[in-house]
Amino acid sequence: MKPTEPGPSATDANQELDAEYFIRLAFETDPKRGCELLFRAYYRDLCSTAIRFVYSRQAAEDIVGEVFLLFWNNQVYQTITISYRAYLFRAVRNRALNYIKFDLNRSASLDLLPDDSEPDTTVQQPDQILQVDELLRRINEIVRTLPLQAQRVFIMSRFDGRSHAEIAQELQINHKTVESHITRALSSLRHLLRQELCLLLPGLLYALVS
Amino acid sequence: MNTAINKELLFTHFDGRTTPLQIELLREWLQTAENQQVYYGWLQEWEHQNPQVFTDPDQAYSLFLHKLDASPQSVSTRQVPILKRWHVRSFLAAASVAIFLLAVMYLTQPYWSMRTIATDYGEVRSVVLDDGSRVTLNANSKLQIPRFHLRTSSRDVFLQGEAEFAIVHTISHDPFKVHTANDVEVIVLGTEFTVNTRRNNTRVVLNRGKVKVRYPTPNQINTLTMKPGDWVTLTPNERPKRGRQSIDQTTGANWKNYQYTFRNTPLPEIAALISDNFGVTVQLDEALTKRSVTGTFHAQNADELIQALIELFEFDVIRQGKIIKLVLSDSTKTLN
Repeated sequence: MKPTEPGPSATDANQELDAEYFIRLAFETDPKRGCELLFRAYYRDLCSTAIRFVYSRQAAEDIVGEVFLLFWNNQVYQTITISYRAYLFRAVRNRALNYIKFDLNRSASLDLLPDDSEPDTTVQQPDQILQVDELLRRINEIVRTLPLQAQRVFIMSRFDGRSHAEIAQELQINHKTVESHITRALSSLRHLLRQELCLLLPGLLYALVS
Repeated sequence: MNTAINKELLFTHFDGRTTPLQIELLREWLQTAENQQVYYGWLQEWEHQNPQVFTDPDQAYSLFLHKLDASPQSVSTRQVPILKRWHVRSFLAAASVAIFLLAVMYLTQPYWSMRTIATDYGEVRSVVLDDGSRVTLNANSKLQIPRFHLRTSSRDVFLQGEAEFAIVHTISHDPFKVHTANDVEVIVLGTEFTVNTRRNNTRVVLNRGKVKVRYPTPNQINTLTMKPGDWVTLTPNERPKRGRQSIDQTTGANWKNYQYTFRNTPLPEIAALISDNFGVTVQLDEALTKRSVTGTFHAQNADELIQALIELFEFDVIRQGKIIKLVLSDSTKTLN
């Protein structure tokens, strides 16, 4: 893999602003150029964070794409007060969480977290951030409890975006087995996450109301 | 800034290896917007070091540009209306359901807002209303009483068939109104009277007190006042027939005790009464239609009443299910 722009490391806010100085500068002169710089800088990391939630490469890329699209179309870059990357990561995480909720509960969309379709640049509730982390940890735990072979199949399918036939060939197993592994993995994820969300939701609601 | 929170701790956190105490520390630390920025900054750095997926930013960016062109500056404005339209749609759905329910409630109002008391053929039943008034329903009659006393200023009931009313005078002088099928209203304050509204006629017989009867004529609504012993028969589009009878002779509601008093009553009228009260059709021989009957009979059912008539007239009874034919017996014919 070829390295994209080095991930700006920061130890405090000021330094972080410095790291994004050139991007900020680019937005002032040519927003389109700024957007491209931002995209190239963070796209991969954003996808990486999104996929931890949604466990599907396609969905993760869609989520990140949508966040950028909103960022551009709503001209968030003009009103933003926090760093671009804080905004983007927050937006991607919220959107990913909403995606999970939608996925678990397809009949009703639960827009519990602000979608960041409008630039909400105020302070987020710390509980909200931590609950998202907690959910992430649970997802990881759930995947880790899967049988080894199922885990392997699932990860190949979801992360590497390979077709069932390819996986079947590589692992020398039946096409049907691949399917059943994935179905079982998804259903156990759904099942456990639904329980998890039931416990999480009141907290999230509370965080939103207060 | 809280020195306990550093990049190492946060990376441990992202790895999912923090203890609850450390999470509590983080929660405190995350109170400020500045620290949240730092948090997301470190999150990006951590993601950069632990990539989950290898994407091609160049390809993704060109795809992104493509999407941008496809939806010039409108995705956001499209997103919000979708949400709004959904709200509008759900609002419309809720509104139409509400309207539908209201319409159903309005249309079915007579069913749920009224308590209906009905008697079978040959059944006489007494009911006491909430205000203490007593209503005795004759056979094959129906009384509807409002369930909810919303307009407390008047007590309204609706009658089909025949009933005797003994109405209590309320402290607040609320009028009691009996509505009958042909838009006749009997308005009282507190009396005893009988209303018979069968076969499109309304007959009111007053035992005691005073009643006002309102009845529609083609041009206007007329009112007449009755005194004890008066009877009135109202037929649509005809002048009301009025009369008096001495109170002790009142035939108003003898049916309460299964007594039938006839005074020069033509047989066809009696046949109609039997049919109304007992659900049995009585067909009369041509020769019998001109006869009339006087007397008081005690009868629980149609058979008993007809039996009593047989003793008077000596006719033959031919039964065909619910139809009873009365024919002059041959012996009588020869006598005539």
